[in-house]
Amino acid sequence: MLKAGLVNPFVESAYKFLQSEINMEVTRGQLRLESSKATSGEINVALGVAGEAEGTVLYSMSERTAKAIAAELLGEAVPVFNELAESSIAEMGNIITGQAAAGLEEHGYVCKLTPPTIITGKGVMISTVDIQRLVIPIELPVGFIEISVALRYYNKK
Amino acid sequence: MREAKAKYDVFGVFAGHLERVRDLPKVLVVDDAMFMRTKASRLLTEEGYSVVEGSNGAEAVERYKSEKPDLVLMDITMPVQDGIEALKEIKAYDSDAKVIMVTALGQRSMVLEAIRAGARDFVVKPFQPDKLMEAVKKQCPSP
Repeated sequence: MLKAGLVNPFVESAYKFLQSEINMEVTRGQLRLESSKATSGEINVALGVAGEAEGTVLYSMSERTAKAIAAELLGEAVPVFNELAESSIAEMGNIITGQAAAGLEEHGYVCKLTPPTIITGKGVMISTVDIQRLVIPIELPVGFIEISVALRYYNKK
Repeated sequence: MREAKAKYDVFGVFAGHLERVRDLPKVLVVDDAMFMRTKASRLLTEEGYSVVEGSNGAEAVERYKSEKPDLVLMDITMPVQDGIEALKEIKAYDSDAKVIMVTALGQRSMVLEAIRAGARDFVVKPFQPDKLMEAVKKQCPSP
């Protein structure tokens, strides 16, 4: 069972990154638990987590939202979701999850991350198999990002 | 004759440009994320530095030897060879090498290892432009 207190590092980290790096108003939606395979967006960033917390963290958004965020990160218009835009969105996932992992470490869960993977396409089905996903909807003026945290925790302390 | 002179002028301008680029302090930016390399490179170029790039530790060592940069900005977690191993190889090749580690939060132990291995400073990602330039200028003043 996912502990709510262990979700806060992800929320705080996402807020911190989005507010400071893309300078947009950020609003958190209602958290929900899901076990379906479906993702909401055409652009998905997946990071694997291993250690005392293990599983997957997914960032899902529409292509329009991804291009708008990439444009802010790059400081230039992004008419096409190209390799550089892809790299910027992947790095966003990497940094938010990295900072969240530092927060988890403060709770006693030491973990490592895999490099980010980008999965694109409409109606993409990503399964976290038997780990439920806690979905954190983040609303931005340019659309939504859904952060899905599918982690198991093994605290040795 | 006029055409020949025009060609000479173009060549002269090009040669002059090359000369100016050659005189600029050179920074080697190493990160596996194209976005981070692009962001740092644009900033450094705007501030009057010339930039060469590498996408992993092995490339960093190779480019350090071939390009002889004045400063290296080095990511830690990279494929092929990580930033700390690359730092150690660069310091073994040139003990005066100036290397700044660019690190994500939660890599404190790795930062300490890098400092022990001879890194001059570290900057936390996502970096603020002024923080990065402050660290760069401390090690390698702009022209």
